[in-house]
Amino acid sequence: MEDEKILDLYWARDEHAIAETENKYCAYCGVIARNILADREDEEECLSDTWLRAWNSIPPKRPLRLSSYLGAITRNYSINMLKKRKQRPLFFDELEECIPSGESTDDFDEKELEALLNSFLRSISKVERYVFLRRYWYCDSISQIAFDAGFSESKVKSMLFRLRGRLKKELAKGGVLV
Amino acid sequence: MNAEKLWQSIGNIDPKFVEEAEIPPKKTGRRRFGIVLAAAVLMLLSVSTIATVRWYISLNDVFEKPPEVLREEEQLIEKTADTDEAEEPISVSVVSCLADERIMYLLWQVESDGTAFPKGASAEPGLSFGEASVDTALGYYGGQIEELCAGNVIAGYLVAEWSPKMQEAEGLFRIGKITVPEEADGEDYYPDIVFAMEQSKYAEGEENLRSEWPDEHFPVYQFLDIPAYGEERFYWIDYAEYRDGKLLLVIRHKMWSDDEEFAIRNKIMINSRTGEEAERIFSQTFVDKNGYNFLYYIYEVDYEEIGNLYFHIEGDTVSSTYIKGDWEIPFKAEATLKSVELQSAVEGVSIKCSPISMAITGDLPEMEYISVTLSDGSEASIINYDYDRIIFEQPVEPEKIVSVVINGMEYLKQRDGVQ
Repeated sequence: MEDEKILDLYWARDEHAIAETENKYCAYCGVIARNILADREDEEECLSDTWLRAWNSIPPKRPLRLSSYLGAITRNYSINMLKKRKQRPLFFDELEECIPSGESTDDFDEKELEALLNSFLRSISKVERYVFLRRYWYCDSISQIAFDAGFSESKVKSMLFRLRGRLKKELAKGGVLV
Repeated sequence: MNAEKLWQSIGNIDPKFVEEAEIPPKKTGRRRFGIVLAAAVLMLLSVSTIATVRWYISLNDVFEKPPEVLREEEQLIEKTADTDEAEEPISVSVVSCLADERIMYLLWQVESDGTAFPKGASAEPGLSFGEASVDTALGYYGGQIEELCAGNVIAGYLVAEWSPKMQEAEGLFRIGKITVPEEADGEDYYPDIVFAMEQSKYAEGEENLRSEWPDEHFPVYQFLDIPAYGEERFYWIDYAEYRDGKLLLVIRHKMWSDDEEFAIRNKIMINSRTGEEAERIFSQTFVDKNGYNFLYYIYEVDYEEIGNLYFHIEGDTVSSTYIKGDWEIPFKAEATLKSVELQSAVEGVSIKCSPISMAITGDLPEMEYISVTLSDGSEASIINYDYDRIIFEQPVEPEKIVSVVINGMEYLKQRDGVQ
């Protein structure tokens, strides 16, 4: 079913919306949950939470891209679950490298940070965006990214390293510090 | 801020970027090819004992009459792999391998079972002899025999210097991919030259910095691997330095990959502020043993303009991968063609010639020019000009050679009745 029709079901408060969403996006969101959690049971729980959250948030929301909206929910639930397990994903360590050091400031506006990130993503190439987002949005492993992109693992690592460096520069310019 | 907050913010980026990253970029052939290759192996196992190979070319197609052969063992080896795109079997074959005392000459063909190859399709052959590889001065040289390429067949030849080590070793013939000509649009690439300059170091230390820019020798530097991206492809900046009003860039491409076509396309550096082309005063290229193509470019440019520079790669006709395969066929060249003595017109000079090469010995001038003319008036195409190894691009019949001119002087005794 097309996203628009699924969203119409949500807005009509028709519970078929959940079944249609699960039918269409179970695999997509499942990959994200699996990438982060690596646990089948947790993955299923996380997906159930995702469908419920979608039901509770649409309406009032009507996302332009249902896939990324659901993916973002799954991503957040997965990381919360990981925190409950007192585990820390590897890519957090990698992202630490992006944060410029300096006088601590936590009063930056989140919207401003998102704007900085969007600006950074616009400034890099499509291939770079692909690799960066596969790693830090979809939380894919290096080997999976390399396989999908047709690159060697070392090339993916190298690209990510440089992208983190460039993001760090952009964040520093925008005044985002540790 | 911490990593988690950054990670959460990444989760709220523009959804169009997220959607864009759902689908892998174009290089998707590997996974599928792995599957079809596995199928091909099964197929090969199942048909290899009963396969009948239809040979579209043979020695008789190349020579009007078969050459005199001292000893011959033609290798008719087939390896079949399914294709990535057309999903139909492709047969790659070493049809024949001949050698004289100096070189080996290998005929190969690629045949699709049904669909004709697109116009202009070409296969890229390679040759290896393992430890005794073709690391001679000549290496190997190949081409297609256009008159034998038609429909679902591509045929060609490879010639290589024939060293004793190679004669003992098993050869490996390879077709990496089949390509078709394609019109490529111009592309822009944006290298981070300023960052590259900040990072660049000579591997041997500052004290070994050359006082002059490279002309015949290349500097030793650390590979930086800084990518410069265009729409979907990229190359790397490995070194950047500014000195005396000049910018040196060392750019690296991986040869024998999808980037190969654009690696050879003309690149110009544009100043985005002025729209003008930066003046390139030096360029040189070489390929290393790992298959990387290195470009050394020096530009005359003001330091303040470096941040404004980007590469523009001009539109061109390029080779585009039609079938991405990797066919390897082992072979052993056993045949030895006999050289005949051609009657020399110059005392003390001997001319020996087989259908695939010629050797001229004696008191000879430094060769500036040689032409070998055949009885039909055509000139044999020559690809190597050493006196002891003059190699014909396509086989000739020695008896039909009527003239061997070196530096304007005739060295072949004219036979009666031959013009």
